[in-house]
Amino acid sequence: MHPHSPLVVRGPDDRGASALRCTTCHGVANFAPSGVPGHPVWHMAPREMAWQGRALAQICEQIKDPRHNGGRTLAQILEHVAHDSLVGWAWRPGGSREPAPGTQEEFGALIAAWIESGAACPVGH
Amino acid sequence: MTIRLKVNGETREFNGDPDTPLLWVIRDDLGLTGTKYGCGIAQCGACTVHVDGVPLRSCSSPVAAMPGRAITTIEGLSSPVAKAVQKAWIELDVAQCGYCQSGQIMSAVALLEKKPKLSDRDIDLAMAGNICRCATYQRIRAAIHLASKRLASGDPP
Repeated sequence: MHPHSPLVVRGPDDRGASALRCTTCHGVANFAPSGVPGHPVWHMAPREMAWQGRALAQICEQIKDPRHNGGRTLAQILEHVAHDSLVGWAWRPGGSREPAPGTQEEFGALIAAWIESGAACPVGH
Repeated sequence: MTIRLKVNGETREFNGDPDTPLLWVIRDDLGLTGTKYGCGIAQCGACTVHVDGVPLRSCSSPVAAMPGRAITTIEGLSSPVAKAVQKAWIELDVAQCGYCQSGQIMSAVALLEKKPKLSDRDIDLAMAGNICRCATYQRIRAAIHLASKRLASGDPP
């Protein structure tokens, strides 16, 4: 991973600083002439959802924790990861960007199975 | 296909590929060459215009997204904030080669419209997408502060 270029910050609403919003550069769709990716609601996930520096077990627990997952139930988590189009962009990033492995549909099925089997989290990882 | 644009208050027409970056329509078709090409990949800010009052990198926006929106280029800046910024820029001799300065001014004007009273950190974060190869950054910062001070005290632009 490398830092965003230019240097940007999430700002007060996860959509950038004054006069340097996400939408200053990112449009509603990927734009091939500049290579800049886009989506109608391009923005950062809230700070409390951050995964960096956290162990797998911590990430698992925070996915289930409404304080860290946007106040969602497990059913809403499933809906979000299986159908949200900004989440889905990860599997169709376009350009020369490497997609996430698998498909959003497969990811949704895995999450559904995880929830159905008790949404267990690893211990101590 | 004909695309109708509102640029600096005037209705203009573009007949070409709707995927053409707005930057090239502005420069090549409308003859407004104050907006510059620096990189074409939204890394330098030289192409910054305002669309509906907020900054946009025109190299990374298709002209097809512009109907119904108000585009302002460096040539069309006229608000009291813009005049204060331009005056400060001249007084402090901000520009060196000048190439980046249209974009710098567009971003600075947008920043001051949103945040008339601002800190160095506000300037750092807002202007981070406008780079200057001549490194006039300290004068840019000083000019933004000067414009802010003048606007706060109601000095005539």
